[in-house]
Amino acid sequence: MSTRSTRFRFDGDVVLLGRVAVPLVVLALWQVLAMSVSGFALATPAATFEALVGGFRSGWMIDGLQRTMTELVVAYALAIVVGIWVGVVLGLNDFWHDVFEPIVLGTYAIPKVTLFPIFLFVFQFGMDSKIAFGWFHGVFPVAILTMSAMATIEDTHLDVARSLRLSRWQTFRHVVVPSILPGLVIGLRLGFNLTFLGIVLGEMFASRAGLGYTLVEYIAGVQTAPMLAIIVVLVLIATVVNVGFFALENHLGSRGSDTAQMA
Amino acid sequence: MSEVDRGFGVDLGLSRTNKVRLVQALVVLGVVGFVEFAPRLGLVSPTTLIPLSEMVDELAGLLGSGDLTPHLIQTFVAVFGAFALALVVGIGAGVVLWKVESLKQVLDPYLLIYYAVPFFAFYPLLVSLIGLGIAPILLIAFGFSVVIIVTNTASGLGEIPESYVLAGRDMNLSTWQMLRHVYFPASVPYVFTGLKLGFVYALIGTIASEFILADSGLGWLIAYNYNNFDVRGMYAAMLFVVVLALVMNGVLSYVENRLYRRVRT
Amino acid sequence: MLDITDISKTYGLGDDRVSTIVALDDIDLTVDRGEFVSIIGPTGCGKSTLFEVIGGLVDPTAGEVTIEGSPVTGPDERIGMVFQDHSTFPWLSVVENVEFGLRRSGVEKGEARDRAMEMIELVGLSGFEHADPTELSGGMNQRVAIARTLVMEPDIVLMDEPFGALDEQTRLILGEELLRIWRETNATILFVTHNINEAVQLSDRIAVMSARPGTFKTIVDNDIPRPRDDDTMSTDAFNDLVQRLWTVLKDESKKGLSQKAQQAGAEQ
Ligand SMILES: Nc1ncnc2c1ncn2[C@@H]1O[C@H](COP(=O)(O)OP(=O)(O)OP(=O)(O)O)[C@@H](O)[C@H]1O
Ligand SMILES: [Mg+2]
Repeated sequence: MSTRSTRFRFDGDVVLLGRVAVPLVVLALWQVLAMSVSGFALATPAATFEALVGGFRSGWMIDGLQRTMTELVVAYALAIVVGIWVGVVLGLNDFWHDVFEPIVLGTYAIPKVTLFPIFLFVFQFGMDSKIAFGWFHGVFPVAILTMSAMATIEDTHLDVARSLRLSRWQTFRHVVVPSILPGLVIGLRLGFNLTFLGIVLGEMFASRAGLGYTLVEYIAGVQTAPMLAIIVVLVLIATVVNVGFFALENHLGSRGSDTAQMA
Repeated sequence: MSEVDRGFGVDLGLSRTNKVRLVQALVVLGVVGFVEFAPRLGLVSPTTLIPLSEMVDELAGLLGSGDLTPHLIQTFVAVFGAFALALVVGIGAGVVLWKVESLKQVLDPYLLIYYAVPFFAFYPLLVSLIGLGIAPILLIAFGFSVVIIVTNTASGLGEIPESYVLAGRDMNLSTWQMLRHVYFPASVPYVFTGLKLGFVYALIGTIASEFILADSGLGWLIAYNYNNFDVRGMYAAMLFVVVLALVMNGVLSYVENRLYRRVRT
Repeated sequence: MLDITDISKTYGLGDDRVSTIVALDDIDLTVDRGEFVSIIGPTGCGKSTLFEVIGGLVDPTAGEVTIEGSPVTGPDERIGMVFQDHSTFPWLSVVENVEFGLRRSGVEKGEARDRAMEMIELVGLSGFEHADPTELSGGMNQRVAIARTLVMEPDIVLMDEPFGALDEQTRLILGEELLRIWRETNATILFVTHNINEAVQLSDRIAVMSARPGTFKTIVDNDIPRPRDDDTMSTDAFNDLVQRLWTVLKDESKKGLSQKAQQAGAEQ
């Protein structure tokens, strides 16, 4: 505890207050900035809100949301299934784990956006290329965190399972899954964030529908109110999902600090 | 209790470590071989993928002719400028967050969802604030890169085992000595994870911005060549970006190892 | 009832698989129903390996384990195992841990719960049924592990240093508790330890293992009358037996230690 003494400490109340204050400060800065540049460059929060409501009324926001969410759900589901499968298989076998760990981690060094045109070649302009691109972003963190969570399974627990003569499936369901859950949840959250990023980027680069596509349209047309309205919607989606995962991580006692590793 | 893991069936009389390396080399060779031979053997259409050797060829030609130079300069300035800025600001802010515990607690949830913000959308705002050119792209790349460095620095310092700090105290080290001999070496692995990711993120930010917003730069070139069905030119530029990313990752790993060893001994 | 015949076990070694370690060499032992037998030996002599072979978790290189004449070929329902530490599942409550094996083998929920509750009472954990293992001390966790094994009603219970990670006082108390449970359940217990006092306190017979390759140096009958309480431990008979065992074990322990140092050196 003594290291803490050198730091400033406030009550939990202050932290809570601070957390509430952050969006307010952002809003205030936004307002000030919007007033000091021309309305062209940055719409005010009020104008953005109006555009947001208008977007839902006239339906373009709903259309875009539908498209983006469909891509997101499919890509994320595939990333989860494949990521967990790969992570468990590699986690179960020491040899293949050692072979693939540095290779899978190495893929983090490659800026995946660069490869987007390849996805267009393979999947064309439709939803498929965005789904594949989102999946490609999300599958790695899920696989990596599953794999490293597999390494935290206690050998003794597996011995207990064997001595109690559990079937393979029972061992997976009742020993492996609960053991890896805390790490897995972190992987699922990081996987979500990257899948989401991949989908929106894909839509921004090459698409004829979806929020990313609409966003680029408004950027090009310098219509900042609907542009910011889309950003607000995207941030809200990410917030809701992340807060949910955050709560789950706290509940499971996942180590929060691991999260910083790969954002 | 598992017995010695025998890996896979064939026994070449190799030690396990060497076997792992061998298989890794085979995997990498397999990928490279696929890129080289799949288009040659007609497994994929040459309008989709070109052999690696042709990419290298094309890239060498582009570099030699000087056609690539303006794009290179544009992208390098943006990437390295953004990364340098993110490095300084990110580590500084990381230290502040670690020192001011309550600030870290306030910002933690926001830092977690930070990467959901599509920064590219702020391009018009940045242009109106600072004008056209490299600067807005550099700033977008900076925004993309800095937070991963901040969070890794802060948690790297936060993860230092209490016992190290107590041992340092026990030896009556000064604040500077504590930083130099305890905090810095103990946090090197975390900070460098942040820096490596930070560089990739700066690269992603730059390339993605150039895809959408710019009229030069490697990202623009990739998109332009794609749109004009110049598959060779597109892959050459892509190859350059990937190699740049891998080289930088290697350099940072090297520096990390050097630093880590030096401060440890 | 339990016959261990000519058991040997050789491990191939990690990185260069040319070299091998002979962990067990020609082990023979017969255990009668209701007997409490301890196996003591220096560190690294193969106690855990023997435990795993008897429990069917590891195949022996040679030899055979049989119960009432029928061989043990893999994990066996007639055998229950208690491991050294970290064996309770932290994501389950105490009672869920204890009923774990029953539920997985198809015992229906109500019955499993009832039997688990009885067993929890037997091991002295009443009142902690719904606690999490992480909230409990090491000693209490071992009680959970013992209950989880006993509730399956195995013919033979194998325990590998179940109190190894506990402090001396807890170890003594749990030893006495184990003797009580043993009497109440009529279990047959094979108990691995490197603590001589513990072996003498608990067992009918004590098998002393040599340093690697593990063989039995001697098997000693322990005639000290039961019940053995605190006073027993200060009697001459008790101390003589401890002394006798220590004389045998001393040289082997030295060998075991230097082997360990060599092995650590080789791994560097
Ligand atoms: N899976 C394995 N692969 C290779 N060698 C092993 C394996 N398991 C055990 N050994 C080796 O076999 C020998 C006996 O190990 P074992 O764990 O049975 O000893 P032990 O008597 O239980 O020791 P301790 O008192 O330290 O628990 C040791 O030298 C050990 O290194
Ligand atoms: Mg052992």
